[in-house]
Amino acid sequence: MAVGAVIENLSNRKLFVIFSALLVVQILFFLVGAWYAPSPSSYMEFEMITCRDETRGFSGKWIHRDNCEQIVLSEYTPISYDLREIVFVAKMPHARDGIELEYSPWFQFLLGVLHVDVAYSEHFKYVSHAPLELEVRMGYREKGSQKNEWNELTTSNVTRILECTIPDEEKKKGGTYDCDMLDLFELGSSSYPFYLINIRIPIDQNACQYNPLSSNCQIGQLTGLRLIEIHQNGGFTLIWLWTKTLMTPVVGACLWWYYNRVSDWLYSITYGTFQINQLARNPLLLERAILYLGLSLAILDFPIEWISLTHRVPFLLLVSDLRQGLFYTVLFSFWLIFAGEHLIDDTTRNNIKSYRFNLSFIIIASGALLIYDLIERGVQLYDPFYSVWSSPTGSQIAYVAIFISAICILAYFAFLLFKIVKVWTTIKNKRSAQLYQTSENRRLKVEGVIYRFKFLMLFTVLCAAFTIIAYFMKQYGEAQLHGDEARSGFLTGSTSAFFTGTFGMCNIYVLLLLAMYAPSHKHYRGATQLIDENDDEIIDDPSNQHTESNAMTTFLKPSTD
Amino acid sequence: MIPRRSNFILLLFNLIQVQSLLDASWWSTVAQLSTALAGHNVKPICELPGLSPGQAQVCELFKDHMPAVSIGAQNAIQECQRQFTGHRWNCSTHYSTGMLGPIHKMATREAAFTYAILSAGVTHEIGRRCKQGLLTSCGCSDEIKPKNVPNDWSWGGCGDNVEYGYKFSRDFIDIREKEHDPKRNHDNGRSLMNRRNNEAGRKILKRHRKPKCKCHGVSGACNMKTCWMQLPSMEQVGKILRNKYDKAIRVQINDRGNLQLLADETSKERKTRALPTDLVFMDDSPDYCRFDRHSGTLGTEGRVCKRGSSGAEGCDSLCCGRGYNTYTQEIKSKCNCKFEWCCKVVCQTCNNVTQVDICK
Repeated sequence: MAVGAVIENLSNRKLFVIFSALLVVQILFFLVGAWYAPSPSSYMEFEMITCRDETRGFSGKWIHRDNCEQIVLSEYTPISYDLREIVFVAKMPHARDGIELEYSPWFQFLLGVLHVDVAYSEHFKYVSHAPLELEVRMGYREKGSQKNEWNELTTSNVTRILECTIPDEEKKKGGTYDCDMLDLFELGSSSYPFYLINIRIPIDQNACQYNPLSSNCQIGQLTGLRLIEIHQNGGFTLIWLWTKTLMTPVVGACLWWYYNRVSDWLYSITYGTFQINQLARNPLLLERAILYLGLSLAILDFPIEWISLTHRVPFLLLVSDLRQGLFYTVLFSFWLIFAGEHLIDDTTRNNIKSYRFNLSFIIIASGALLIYDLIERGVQLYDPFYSVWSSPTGSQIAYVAIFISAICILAYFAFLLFKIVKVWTTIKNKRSAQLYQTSENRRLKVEGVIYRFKFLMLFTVLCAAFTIIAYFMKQYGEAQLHGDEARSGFLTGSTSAFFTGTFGMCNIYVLLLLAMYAPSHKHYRGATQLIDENDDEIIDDPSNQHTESNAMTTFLKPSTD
Repeated sequence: MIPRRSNFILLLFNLIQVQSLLDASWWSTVAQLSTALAGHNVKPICELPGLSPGQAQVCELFKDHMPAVSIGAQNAIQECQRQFTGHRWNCSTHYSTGMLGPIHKMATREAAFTYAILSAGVTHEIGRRCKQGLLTSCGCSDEIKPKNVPNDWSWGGCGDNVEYGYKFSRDFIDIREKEHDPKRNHDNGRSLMNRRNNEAGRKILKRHRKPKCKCHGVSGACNMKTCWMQLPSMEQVGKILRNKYDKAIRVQINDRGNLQLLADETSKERKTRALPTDLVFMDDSPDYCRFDRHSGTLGTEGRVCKRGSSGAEGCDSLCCGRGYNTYTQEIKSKCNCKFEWCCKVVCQTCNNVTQVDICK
């Protein structure tokens, strides 16, 4: 059956206008991020104060600044053996400029990273990969409550592996280790304004004697804990949510239009005035792929995050991961199908089953990442202090998952490249050999296929190039921020611009696909004869059964435009 | 402009004359603030003799910052002494008083080093206390935001604490160099030099921060990344400043009242430009070998030296050729220690007989 996509029926002038308009929209997206949005996330650093708690935590009392018997760790002689009487305390956030700051639901997530300061000591040596066990208690306080009325959020025993290095010349008294930071917690929402963290580092002397490998026996001379809390900036959330909110109806409308186009076309064919002796067919695989791509974009765009501003929904972080994962999976599958569907001489086209092998790479890759994400962020819904990486088995699973997905993605891209090269060579061969020997209709059909393929190919490469450029701009801007003198220039705000820009580009990319690759209506005008002729011709050609064609519409191009 | 020699000699002469310049001793006062504060006594801490009028005012406004200033100064002095152990000048404090000697009457390399490390120490400690939440006035970043957004914290977060420490240190420490003290009106560029060295110390601290980053995108991917700056330790700052001390640049004040580089006789190439992180000095160091109340040196008599060592701590160098006495010393030291985290060391006592060389 012959039908053309919209793209083939557009004159160069129209195409140029559309492209220019989209470029303007793209630049707008970029500028919104660069000018209005602050950087996507910010941090606050807490050096935990050390307090003495005679009850060693058994009283269940919260230790905070106001009831803290502050001690200096290097001068303090503990009386207990398990050292539970020493409490590391941090209240989040700090007061600044004389104002008591509060966490806002706009921050979306809170995550904490722990720096352990370890000094070199001859007596208490640090041994590589020492397990560090922390007894963490996290409390929260509501906005209107009393100053130190803390409520329990979670209590957890956290084990992490402490990795530190020290240069040889530093191995003397006063030398300090350089330790990797440890992931401490991750909260999927920050709906409480204040948090309090109490950390104890218990040590079991007996266990240490029997087995030096048990927790906290080889962590060296600990001189302090520093906590870094990271959250998304409220300003960024606002702008991000508004871009999503504005894009959702646009994507929705476009998707609706596309869906109608596909089914409307079928309707016309079956019951229309043209009396075509062909049964209604299901939408082509390519059309369905574009439809799913649009659908996954609509899901990605849907601004579900607005709920988080009024309700406590810690699972949003996971949901947002899943949505992104879905979008990329569909996008990657689409590329593969698109390339495959343009292999002109391939008879197995328009059948999802023929892509089984290649698609399995994407499915495995995204499946592995899904499992990783479900474990990491899923468990964090119950225990914010959970980390896959903390246990040997967990980190093995995580490594395997990431390794498998990396391999699969590599294999996928290799296949994709192979497919694209194959399409190119086919096109070349067609052009040089077959093209001008067959009939006019056949020629136009092949030309149409080539045109469609080249268009998307060029557009994809353009988008990829833009993403890469934006990424490097972002890296450059970030490097500027962390140079000697923090300079505020155009590029320092580019991190947010990168996010809004790439988000806008994703949208534009899919919207353009929906618009350009929708079936065209233009062949309805007095094209009856040609359709029939064309159909016959194609069915006669054994190499082109079950494929869509567009030759006719391309043929009509001069008369309709 | 080539400096005239006569001018320079005059300058030196002048400097020696300015005896009333009891300069860096104010630091020692500040370093002792904490003992005054420890007892929570209501003594007006801001009326210490060492503070200049401007500093007293800042002190009144930021009383809660004074322990930080004091601890910062103490750390700095400690680090200074660590860096110069075994040298003729060992960042000496007056016996048991914990006060820095009056060495800073002269604009020497040592003075330059002390000023730089002290201002770095204060910046460091203020930044640290901001992180501990002890100072509520630590500022937020000046992230650009729309004018109608009232809450800059929830809009764009808060920035670096070091910036606050840097500003406070600059305001508090440098203010005394900007004041018009009648006694200091003719200080011949001394206050310019001090300001420059103060700034160098702070700049070095700032410049040697290291970014640490955490990736937190989808599945921990690095498309979302947050970085923060980690301050260098005082040891690192001390080490860097020690190098800067060795490469300190001699300057003089020119007719227009600006500091001007002076050709160094020892190095062949003439430096045309001093970096903001370079230490500058104007006077030759006095002879640290002998005690001299006039120039404020303590001398090396009675210092422990290392026999046979060719370095600065060797007896030949440290005792300035006066020779040394050897004493046999029985030292009771802790040995066979077993450490119990974090603060307890269980040891046996061992007697070691060692020989100690002490300069004559």
